[in-house]
Amino acid sequence: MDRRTPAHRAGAQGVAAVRSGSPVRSMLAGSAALVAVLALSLSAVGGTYAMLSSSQQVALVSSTGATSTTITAGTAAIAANGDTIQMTALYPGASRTAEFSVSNTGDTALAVSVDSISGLTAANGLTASVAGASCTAGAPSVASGPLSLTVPAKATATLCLTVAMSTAAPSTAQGLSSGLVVALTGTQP
Amino acid sequence: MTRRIPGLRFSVAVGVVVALVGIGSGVGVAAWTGATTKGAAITAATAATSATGIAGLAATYKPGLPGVSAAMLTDTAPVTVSNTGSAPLSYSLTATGGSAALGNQVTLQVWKAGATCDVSTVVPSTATTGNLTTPPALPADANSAAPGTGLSLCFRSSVTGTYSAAGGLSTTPTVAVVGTVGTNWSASASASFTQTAGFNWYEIQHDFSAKCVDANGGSTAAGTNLILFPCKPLAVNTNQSYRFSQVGTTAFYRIYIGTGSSAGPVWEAASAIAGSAVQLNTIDTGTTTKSNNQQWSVVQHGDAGDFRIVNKNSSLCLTMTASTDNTVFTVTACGTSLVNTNTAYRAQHFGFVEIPS
Repeated sequence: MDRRTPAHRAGAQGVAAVRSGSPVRSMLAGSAALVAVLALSLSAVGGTYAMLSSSQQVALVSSTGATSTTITAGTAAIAANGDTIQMTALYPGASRTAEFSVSNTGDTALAVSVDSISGLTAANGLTASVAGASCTAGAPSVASGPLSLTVPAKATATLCLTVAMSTAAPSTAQGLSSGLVVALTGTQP
Repeated sequence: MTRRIPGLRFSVAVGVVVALVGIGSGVGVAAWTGATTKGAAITAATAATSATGIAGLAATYKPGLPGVSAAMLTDTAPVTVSNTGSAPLSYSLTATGGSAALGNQVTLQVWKAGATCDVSTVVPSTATTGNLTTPPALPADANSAAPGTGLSLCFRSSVTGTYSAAGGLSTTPTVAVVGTVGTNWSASASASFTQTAGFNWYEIQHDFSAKCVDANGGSTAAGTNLILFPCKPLAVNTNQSYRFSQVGTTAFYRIYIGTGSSAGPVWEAASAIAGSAVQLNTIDTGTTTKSNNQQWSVVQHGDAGDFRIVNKNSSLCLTMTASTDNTVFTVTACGTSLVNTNTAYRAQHFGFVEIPS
């Protein structure tokens, strides 16, 4: 007569299953593999994880005395301010500058870069670039690529748009109206 | 028989999912970027210009005759250029369509206009110089204009060289002021005008008889005598109209008749002997006696407006000894009397009446 309790019996059976290469042992092996893959996956995204893991523990005490902790993810948002820039009477060999501002309305500082400037054609003979500072600062101006400008969260920065007309602009460019669109991106540094 | 590990397939599937989740989490960076755009409206300028006064270069030059008529060998015209566009322009001059035969003999000077721009204005040292075929560059102090501004220029054209080479020629160039900006933008304003190297034509009147020097019978044949005949209405191209063409820079002239052409005939003393007839003959441009017999000087003598016509070869004076029609002109020794009632004075003094043209 087996005088062990049902629990003891079940444990004995489990040991017996492991010892005999049963499905239990296979499950353990699979789980080990899973852990390894998970570790590798997390290590692969370690950088991003670090950014996203920024956290803040905030103890909130309600009027009833209850305490809760809330973690809210940050946001990244950038916006160009003001109306469409107007530039007139541009002629071959001439350039015009105009300042505009961008606001970082998110929660993290953003490094600003120029994605593209569209609307520049051989027909209008225009070239354009953007500098990450006021027009009088003499900052480097780029048609595409990063600016030397990081806008802190909730801050506004001034940029300078320079539009020039090539000396070889065609005669047909006279009086032409062109619309340019400067595409900017702010990226968490 | 292959043994399979129970649950392995499940575990691998879960691992793949986790890996994909991990990889997918890389996109999470995009959530930490923001994008925006800024628009700009660009309006290009235009090049446009206007000019006034270029047509003022229309001119008829005349060589004149010393003591008789003043030469008119220059023309001065103010020219105003306006930049009516919205781009600054650098200006230059061009000339097209004219006759180089005269255009190359007409000097064109351009300068920034001062208080005056007329025949009496002294050409400043800053003036640029070209000709009607190849105009000069604009002067450095007046070769560009901002939008809405302009240039105030003074143009002067002048016949250069010997008038005998230019006389009778004309040209009608189109002169343009061309404003440029860049390599492809330009605007111009132009005007055409005619310049003619004309002649002073005269009737030559015998003072005493008040009759004219006339080619007998209206002929232009060699040997046609010049005779005294009642003056006809003033008109160029008659047998009583004459022009004086200076020989080089000398004081002597060949005298052409209006019924002839630029090739002649011209006056000629038949010989150097006193009493020789004065006739029409074909031009001899050599250095021979015949050529000198065809050259005359016009010398003011006696009363105001009285002239003697003296032959180069013989130094004899043109003489009309009568007042009778058809009397042939001759050459005789020049008198010395300054008294207009003197017979010799009466025979050898003439007046000039310029024919309008």
